[in-house]
Amino acid sequence: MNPKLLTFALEAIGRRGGKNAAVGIIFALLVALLASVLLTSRSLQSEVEKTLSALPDITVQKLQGGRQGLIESDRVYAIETIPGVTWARERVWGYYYFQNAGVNFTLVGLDFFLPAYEESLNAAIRNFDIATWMDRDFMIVGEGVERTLHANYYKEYFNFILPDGAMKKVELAGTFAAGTALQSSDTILLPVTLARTLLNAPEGLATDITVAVANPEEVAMVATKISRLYPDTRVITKTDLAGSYQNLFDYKGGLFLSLFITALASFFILLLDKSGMGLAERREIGILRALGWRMEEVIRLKLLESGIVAFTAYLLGIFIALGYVFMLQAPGIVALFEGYSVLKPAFELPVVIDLSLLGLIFLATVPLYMAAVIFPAWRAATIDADEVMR
Amino acid sequence: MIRLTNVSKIYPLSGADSVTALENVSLSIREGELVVLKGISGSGKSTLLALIAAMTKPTSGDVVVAGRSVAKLPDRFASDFRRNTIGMIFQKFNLLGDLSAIDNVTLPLIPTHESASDIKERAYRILKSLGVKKRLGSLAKHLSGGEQQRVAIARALVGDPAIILADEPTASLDRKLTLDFVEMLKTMKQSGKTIVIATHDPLFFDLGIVDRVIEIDGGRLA
Repeated sequence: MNPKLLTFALEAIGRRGGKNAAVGIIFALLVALLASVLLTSRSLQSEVEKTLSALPDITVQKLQGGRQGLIESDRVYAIETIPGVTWARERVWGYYYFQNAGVNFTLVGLDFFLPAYEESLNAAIRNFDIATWMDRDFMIVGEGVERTLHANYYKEYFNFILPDGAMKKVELAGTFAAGTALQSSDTILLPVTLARTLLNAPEGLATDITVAVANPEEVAMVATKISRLYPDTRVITKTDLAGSYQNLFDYKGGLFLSLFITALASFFILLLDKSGMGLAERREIGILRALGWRMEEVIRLKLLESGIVAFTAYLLGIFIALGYVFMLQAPGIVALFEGYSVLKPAFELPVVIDLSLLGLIFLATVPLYMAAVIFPAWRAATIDADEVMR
Repeated sequence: MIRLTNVSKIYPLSGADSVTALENVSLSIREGELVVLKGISGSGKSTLLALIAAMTKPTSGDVVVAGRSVAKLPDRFASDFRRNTIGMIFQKFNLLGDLSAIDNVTLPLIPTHESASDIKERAYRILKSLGVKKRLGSLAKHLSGGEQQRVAIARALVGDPAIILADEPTASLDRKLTLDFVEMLKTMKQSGKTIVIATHDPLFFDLGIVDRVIEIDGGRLA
């Protein structure tokens, strides 16, 4: 690298400071937009992956009139007799709509004296002294729930409205840190009997049944056997759920990308247009050529100029995106991927910085920018020097 | 030093139209000679200089400069030839207005392997000898016409070329600055450079230092 050429390129950027700043800012904003969406998507995906990894291999739901209804708890015994099944357990859970805040809480009933079906739930209550609360109605809440309750002046208890309209006072026994924000932040853990009362789920019925299968290769076969055993059920495997989440990200991410590519293409077409390389710049190339600069030296100069502008704008765009996504929590973009975010408590996007993603954004933007600058420069440099100056 | 043989240059225009800038020109210029190309605007003087400087290629004929057929030089070698052999002074000086005087002078040597300090030192010496010492750091666009011309001359000399080509160098200068330029020409000629000046300024036709006046009319030698 010729240091004189680098110095000259930096000076040239300064000489055309106004234009470079304007183009650089637009480019940085485009990079920021793309990076924001992809970083948000990646962060949410990592949440979903963590959530999915904690899910049981199979979930069995009962269908009534095409909708999910309560399932008989004693079906777990028949399911456990299927070869390959490690265990089957009933779950009592559901949603509670808190009208004041306009959010849904997820109520999860637990038998606090038995290990839960999900390790994340066990972790949530591990340090909690359950014995001191056994004679009272209590709940342990996720951080998102705690925030919502505090914002609505519920510091020590919360009054649930039962299905018959009566009120049920439940004490706030503690808070657990979110293992995964999507899963736990809106969750309320409470004794299973209390959960049955709040959700109107009588003894002997459950929300669904979860099944663990020892060999992952046998999950599909076990699911088929459960379907045959209970034709009135919907049997969902972890793979099905992973697929539907992936489809959601692919669809919404794809939708955004197609819009983004349109915006990016418009930007580069504008850049390629004659406004991208004005008369003064073409005259400058003509002068350099007339003074004995080789074509490749002119191109190298323009590569340096455009590379410095593009890389600086890229870095600026990435920093804007990191701040927007992980400090401001990507307002607007989270909603793109969350179907019903309004009804859910706020959760924190975990910081997931995927270097390959940043590399992909770099490759998708910086070389394009440089090409958009180099092409007109190359055209100007190939014309006879005397003609460029005429 | 410079030999043109049956050189023609035709510029294509839009459609089937074209302009013949030079037609069947043959001439030769010896080393150390100071030659004035005389002719009205559009007569083909600038095209002739561009051909000698390998800035464009002839439509037909051959241009040999310093023993090399520049008409056939690939672009890369033509650029090297311009940098090493030719010092060009343009009609409107063609300085980069947003660069300082000294940076304009060093411009031809930026891609070379010479150190920045050596190039600056050389540019400084030339500018000093041309009397622009006090305006080294001034932007070219802020210089007077005379100063701009001296910077343009310094830029033509910085690579120590064997041939100086000047295209209407006094067209935008007053009488005093024109006479100053003549003085600079004398110095250049004394240093053994071959000089070709394209001009229609009558002052140059009777100058004692001019070895020959070649008249061009309508793209042909008169």
